[in-house]
Amino acid sequence: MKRHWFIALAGLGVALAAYTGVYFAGTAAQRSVEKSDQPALAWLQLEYQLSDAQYARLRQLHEAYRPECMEMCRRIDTKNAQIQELLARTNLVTPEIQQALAESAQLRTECQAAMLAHFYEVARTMPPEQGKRYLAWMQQETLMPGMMFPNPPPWASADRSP
Amino acid sequence: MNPNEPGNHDESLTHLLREWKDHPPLPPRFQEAVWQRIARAQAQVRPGVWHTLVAWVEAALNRPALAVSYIAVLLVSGLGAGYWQAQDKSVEAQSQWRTAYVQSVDPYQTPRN
Repeated sequence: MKRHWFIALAGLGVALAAYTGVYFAGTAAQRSVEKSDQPALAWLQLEYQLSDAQYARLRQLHEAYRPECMEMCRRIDTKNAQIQELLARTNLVTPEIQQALAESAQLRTECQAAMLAHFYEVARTMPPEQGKRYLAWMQQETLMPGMMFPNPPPWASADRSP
Repeated sequence: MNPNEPGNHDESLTHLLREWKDHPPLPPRFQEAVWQRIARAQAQVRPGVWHTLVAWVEAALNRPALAVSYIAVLLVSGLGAGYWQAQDKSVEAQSQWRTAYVQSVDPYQTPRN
């Protein structure tokens, strides 16, 4: 093979090898998370630098919270269906509708309190700084800034990533 | 007797003439000029984009500085493309996992079947 063709092919080979090496190194953590049976929790371990013991505790808390969360989902769906039914019957704000809306608001409060309690528990399993970061992110994602906080906290105006 | 007359052979001269070989010095860059003439002749016979490109690549890669630059540019391009692609993929995956986690703990965001 002529020398210049060897150089041309070697250049392409070097580029391909560099691309492959950097790509696989850069996505190694991601592949490790994807292999997990619960990628979202595995990502949490990676993102918040949890030890294996902390991660095990996190999983335990998550598994314990899931049935509670599903029950809240069921109650929310039932209440929403009831409100839809009442709204379909009339074009006035009847006492029944007012009552249902008040119950819905009460339900939201209960759900948010339950979520917060879970978030605090999870945050306590983390290193203090990571726990703060986790709480700020979860409050931002789930409690809707502006609704619960008259003055948006500093983290609400920043990047929404955790 | 005339020595220039045919048939009058001077044995030593004949031998010397047989042995004599001329080695004139080649003009400077003779070989390169020959190849250039051949290349020009071929180009006249088969002019085309492909052949022009090949000739250009051959000429360029025969220069060590350009060959090293070529390898270096491809190396940096490969590294850059790999890094950019990995970052892009990671950001996308992280976004999916963040959403999945939030949906798994917030009953108001949990997907309904």
